[in-house]
Amino acid sequence: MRSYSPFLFLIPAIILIILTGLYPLVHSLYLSLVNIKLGLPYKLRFVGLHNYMKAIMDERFLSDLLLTYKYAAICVLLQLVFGLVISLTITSRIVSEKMRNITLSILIAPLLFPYVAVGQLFRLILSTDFGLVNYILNVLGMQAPDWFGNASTAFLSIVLIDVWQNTSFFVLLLTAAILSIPTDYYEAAAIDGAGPIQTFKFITLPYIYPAIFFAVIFRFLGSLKAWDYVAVTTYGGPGTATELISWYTTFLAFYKYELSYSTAVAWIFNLTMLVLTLLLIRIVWRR
Amino acid sequence: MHISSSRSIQKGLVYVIILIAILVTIVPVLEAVRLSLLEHKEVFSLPPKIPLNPNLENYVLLFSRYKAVYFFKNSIIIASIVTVISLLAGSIASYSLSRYYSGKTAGSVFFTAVGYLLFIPPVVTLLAYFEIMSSLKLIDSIFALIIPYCGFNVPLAVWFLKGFFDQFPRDIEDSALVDGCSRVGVFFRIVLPLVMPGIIAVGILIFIMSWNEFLLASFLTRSYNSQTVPILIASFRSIAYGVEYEKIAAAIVLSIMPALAFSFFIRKYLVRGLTAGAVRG
Repeated sequence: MRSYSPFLFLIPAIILIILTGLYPLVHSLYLSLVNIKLGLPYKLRFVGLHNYMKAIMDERFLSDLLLTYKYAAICVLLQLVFGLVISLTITSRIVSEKMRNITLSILIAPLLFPYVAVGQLFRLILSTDFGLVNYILNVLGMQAPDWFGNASTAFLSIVLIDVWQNTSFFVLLLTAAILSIPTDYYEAAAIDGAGPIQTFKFITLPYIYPAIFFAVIFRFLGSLKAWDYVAVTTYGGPGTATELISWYTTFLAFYKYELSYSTAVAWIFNLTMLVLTLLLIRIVWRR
Repeated sequence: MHISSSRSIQKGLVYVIILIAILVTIVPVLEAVRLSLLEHKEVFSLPPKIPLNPNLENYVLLFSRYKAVYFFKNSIIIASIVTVISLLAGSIASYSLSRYYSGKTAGSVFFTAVGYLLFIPPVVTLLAYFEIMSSLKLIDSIFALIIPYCGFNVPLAVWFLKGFFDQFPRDIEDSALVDGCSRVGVFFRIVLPLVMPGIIAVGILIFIMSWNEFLLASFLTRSYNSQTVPILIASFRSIAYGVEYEKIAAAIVLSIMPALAFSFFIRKYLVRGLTAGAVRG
């Protein structure tokens, strides 16, 4: 009896995961290999990799895929820079523990907000009619852009929303990593006469590198999946300036009724993420 | 002299950066609160109007005209059920994984499946869920969301809780086993009470993830029977007034309440859970 119980403990989770997660995943693979169109008459046919071939030839898909990776890369880079600056600041010896904890609690709150709510919030503060940001820009005598209205600023706007909401993910992880560095490392460095830049480069950075690596991959995968911001702000526009891949797949499915084709597009997108996903799983499991 | 002045510059810089970070975080939220307390035409007044005698009209209208209570009820029911199911199945699985499958192929296969399902873009399975729910006649019932949310959150519970179980000292369990306690008994009577704070934190996270989910909710729900709070936030249009910004603002403020209530509590546990202890912190 005793030797069976470890496996028995896994059974409820395995059954749930198969029914609610794996089976739909397999069904989705099936959908991508047939020719279903939503609400339109069709004769169900197995078409093999036809939908995948069509996707690889679809220029709109390829440019959206590129745009999505560009979006995630810019978001993560900005979050890393801001996150590192804030983490190094609040772990400074000048800042008391109480003040650090209060600051952290305030900063991480947006991480838990609904993405739709944050998207809508930025639609309000970036509004051309009454938005707070443009009001401040006007008071300062600066040009106030139509944020979601033209291609270059619309892309910048959804980057801004992601950065506002998720920078604190880096703050959270990097702060914890910096605080776990043994203080005698710093004492030894100080005795050896290391300056602040040398201390950062040779002690802090190597020590927190795993945390940076983890946060970068985790958030990169998160930003790649972005859909909610686009769904309440730009609807992929103007033109296709903010058409991230997730938005394109729902556009294909529910506006073009191309159910099977959109699933194939989603699968190719998913496969491009596979290496990073497996890398992240390995980091956590290997411990 | 030189040293003390450079130190005070450093001190000033630290406070300025912290102040900016806090302001950038809270000003947009305060702006939503401000807008939510205005009347429709006041939203457009420049310079921005400060609601000196705030009225809660917009919040009242959310509940009377827009039936917000249905959206909140659905969200609370769905998020609670998903949280309970995910924690029950996830905690025992994660414990078993941490204790008995570490470094074994079976454990690695299971954990890889869990991680893969956790990071898969929801658009991959969206249409499969749509088809499955249509054929089961579940579209527009709360089960259309409960089922997929379990698909995401059971893996999340396993992943997040592993870090807590990994750090739990084994000696306590071993001595209980020697004393004749069964493995099930050890888990429920000894391990579970000690990792309770971690389990509560993960439960809060799952609740909030379900509360926030918008993509599947947009396509698997149709009416007050099953629509959740994110649908309410996304929905304000009126023919007479155009877009009702002040009501959007009120909905935003209500929707972030759980996050504000819990962010202080789960801060301590988030890091360990996220990285399953793989990153020092």
